[in-house]
Amino acid sequence: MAHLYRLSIVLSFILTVSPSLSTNTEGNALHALRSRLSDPTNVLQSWDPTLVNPCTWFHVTCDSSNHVTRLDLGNSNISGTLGPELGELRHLKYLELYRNDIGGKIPKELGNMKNLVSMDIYGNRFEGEIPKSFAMLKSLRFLRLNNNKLSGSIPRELTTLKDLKVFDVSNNDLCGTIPVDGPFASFPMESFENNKLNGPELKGLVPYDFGC
Amino acid sequence: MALGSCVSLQLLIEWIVLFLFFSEASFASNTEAEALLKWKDSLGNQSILQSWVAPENSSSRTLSPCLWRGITCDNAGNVTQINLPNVGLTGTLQYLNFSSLTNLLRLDLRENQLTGTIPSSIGVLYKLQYLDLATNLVYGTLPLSLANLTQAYELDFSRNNITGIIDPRLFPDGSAPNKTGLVSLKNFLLQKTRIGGRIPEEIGNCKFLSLLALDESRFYGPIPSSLGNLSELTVLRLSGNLFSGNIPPNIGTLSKLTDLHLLTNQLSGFVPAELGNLSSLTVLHLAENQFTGHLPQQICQGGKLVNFSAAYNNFSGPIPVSLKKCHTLYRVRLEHNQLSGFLDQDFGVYPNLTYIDLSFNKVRGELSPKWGECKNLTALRVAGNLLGGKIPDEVVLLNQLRVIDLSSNQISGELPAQLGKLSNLLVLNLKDNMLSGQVPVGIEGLSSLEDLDLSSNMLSGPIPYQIGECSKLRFLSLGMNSFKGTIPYQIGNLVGLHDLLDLSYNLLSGGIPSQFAKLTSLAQLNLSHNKLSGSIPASLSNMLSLVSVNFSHNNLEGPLPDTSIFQLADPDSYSNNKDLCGEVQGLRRCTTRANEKDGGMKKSKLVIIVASIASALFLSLALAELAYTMEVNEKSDVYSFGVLAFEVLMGKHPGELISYLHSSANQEIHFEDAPDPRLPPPAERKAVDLLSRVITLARSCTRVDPRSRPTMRTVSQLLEMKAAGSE
Repeated sequence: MAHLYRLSIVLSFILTVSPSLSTNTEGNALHALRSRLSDPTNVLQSWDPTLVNPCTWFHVTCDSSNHVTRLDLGNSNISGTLGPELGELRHLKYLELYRNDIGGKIPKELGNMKNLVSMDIYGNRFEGEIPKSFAMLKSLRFLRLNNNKLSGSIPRELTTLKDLKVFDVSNNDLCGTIPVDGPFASFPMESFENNKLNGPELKGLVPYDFGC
Repeated sequence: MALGSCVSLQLLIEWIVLFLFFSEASFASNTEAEALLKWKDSLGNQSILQSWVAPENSSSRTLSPCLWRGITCDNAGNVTQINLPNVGLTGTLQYLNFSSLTNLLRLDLRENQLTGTIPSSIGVLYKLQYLDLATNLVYGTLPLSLANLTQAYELDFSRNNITGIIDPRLFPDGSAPNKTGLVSLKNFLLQKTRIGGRIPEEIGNCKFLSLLALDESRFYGPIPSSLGNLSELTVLRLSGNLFSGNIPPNIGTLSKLTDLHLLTNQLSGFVPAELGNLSSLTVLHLAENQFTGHLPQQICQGGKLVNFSAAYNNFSGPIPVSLKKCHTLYRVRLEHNQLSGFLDQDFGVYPNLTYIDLSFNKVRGELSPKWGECKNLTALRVAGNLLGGKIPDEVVLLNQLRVIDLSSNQISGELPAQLGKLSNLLVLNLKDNMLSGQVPVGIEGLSSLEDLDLSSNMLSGPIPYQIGECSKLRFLSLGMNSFKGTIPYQIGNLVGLHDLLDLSYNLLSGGIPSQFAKLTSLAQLNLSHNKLSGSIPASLSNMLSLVSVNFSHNNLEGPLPDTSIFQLADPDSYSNNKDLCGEVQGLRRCTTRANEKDGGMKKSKLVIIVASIASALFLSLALAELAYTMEVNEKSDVYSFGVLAFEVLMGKHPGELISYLHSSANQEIHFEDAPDPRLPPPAERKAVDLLSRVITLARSCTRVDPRSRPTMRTVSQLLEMKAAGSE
């Protein structure tokens, strides 16, 4: 809290001294993310919002057009929540927020990251449901949501993610049945263990999928 | 009585004059209050303007807005300021009657949600000194009547949807005396708008202009050379537009200029050497243009340069001479040019420097020990140059370093022995150099390291096992070196490895550590082109995140691990080995594992069988709970359960066995008749009994006539009894 206070003082100073923050949308999105997070080890110290883009910030990687492609904050002792602004990172390929203490719901706006290849938010305190909007992440190969407090069922819509190679939701509070179509045919059972899941959905004359 | 009536007439007139005088003062106030109230009404419900009310018992004479929120008056009761920044105002300025508010000196409505256009009537505010409408939703064009604001020293229309151009007539025309035009203008801000067109040369007539900020709008054309006449100019921000042509040399005469931002435009030609005359310069941004020629050599002549960027241009020639003694430097970005020069000779010591990027130029020389005095350095990027020499030991003193990228140079010598002192280092990229010697064991000190790339060098000796202590590693590439000896099993401790583990093209021998199984997040594994022997450990089937493997060009033999990533990999992943076997094209098929070690294996296999049945039981119990109230067609699921039970016991689809069972109606089936050929038969009698009874149950589930199949309820009860009975 004290840190946020200090930050806002610094920011208001910057606002009065220099005419404007950077107008870069992606930088502003990351700056908004920073204000939601608590960062006791100062991992985000280099995140200077007055720079013209976030591409020289540490833990941020950009492509040659100065679009953010990687956000690497795994194992960084950060807590707080995520917000809808992350959906502005339309060129993001790697969202690495694993093994922190981030809580709250997973914003459905993460489904807007059309270019996402890897989403690793395992090992946090995320709650609520897995957003159905993840079905829009057509390039997704790695989706690791394990070791959180997620509830609800595994959205059937995820079976449309043709490139999904690794899917791990183990160690959550998920219920319902496990999809069997598409990429789900090849995920090992370890990916689903330690939930309240009712096993694979059965396709047959009698539907056993009863939600939760 | 003529005299008396004259006196009383005179008194009357005086009284009337006095009356008019006083009432005019409050009358003016009333008009102002009325104008404000009328505006308030037009805005709809604005809770912030709650104080803007006419008290019920007031006459129009006593109505004073001076105590209203955001309103400031002078001693005469005239409204001189309206200050309502960031209060959530919506609506427009359409109904703000400026002609009733001509005493306004200051109008600050920034950071609201005001929409609509800027009314032309705003030009009547002839006393106005300060106008801030920034960060709203205002649209339309700048009214020409703004030229009447001859007292205005600050105008800010930034972060709005304003379109059109800057009309030259807004500025004084240079004739004396200037009748119209923004003669008093000191601060002019049009950042992030949709205004375009050229900057009129007439702007050079705003003699007092100090801050000109036009960033991120749509301006094009040349930078007017008349800007060189603005001797009071301190900040010139033109970044993020479409300006083209050259920088006018007379910009160099602006002795008070501290900030020159020309970033991200289409400027070209040579940068005038005259910029070296800017004795107050602290920030110079030339990056992302099409400049050619040399950088101005005297750029830090004033000794105050803090921030200098010229990246992503076509600059050639030397590093500016004046940078060597430019001790104030904080951030330097010169990457992606063709600059030449010498890293050791052209740079000095910079106690405030946090970030320097000289990558992708033609810089020679070496990293001199002096760089160890840049104590605040967080990023040192000189990739893709012609650096030689060695990495000085003094580098390890830079304990704030987060990123070192010296890749693609010709640096030789050894890695500093004390490298491990860089405990904050996140990225160490020394790829594609000529480094030799061994990786220091002190590498375990790199406790924050996430990316390590030492590939394409001439490093030798063993891979130190201490690398297993770099617990934050995500990416590790040691390929294309001469590493010898065995792969330390401690690499298996790097459970954070996500992106890549590449040890290819070395001289590594011995086996692949089975501890690699712990790398459950690793996506790509490349061990090719080594002398590795033995088999690929079966435990690697635990590496559930793998999408790409390469074991080719080794001396490996034996079966591939039985997960799909191994079994379905490209044949190139395994080529040129000793005797690998598996279902992959190009490899021979593996023979059956007849020589399994006995002893403890039998018991654990038995446990597996029972556990499988228990899982099937659990599944069926769960289903049975629901299914027992269902109709006749649930018997097809009972059939499926029976098939499943057989499949668990036999290790494959029962297929022909079921039809055999149907033909031999009442025969007892013993476990021995339907074994999984891969497993040894159970020795204990209890197990045999249990399994035989499960077979019988499974058989009854697969009867042809659905009505003679048990219900799932019955099945679950029978299985529960059997499970209890076997204890």
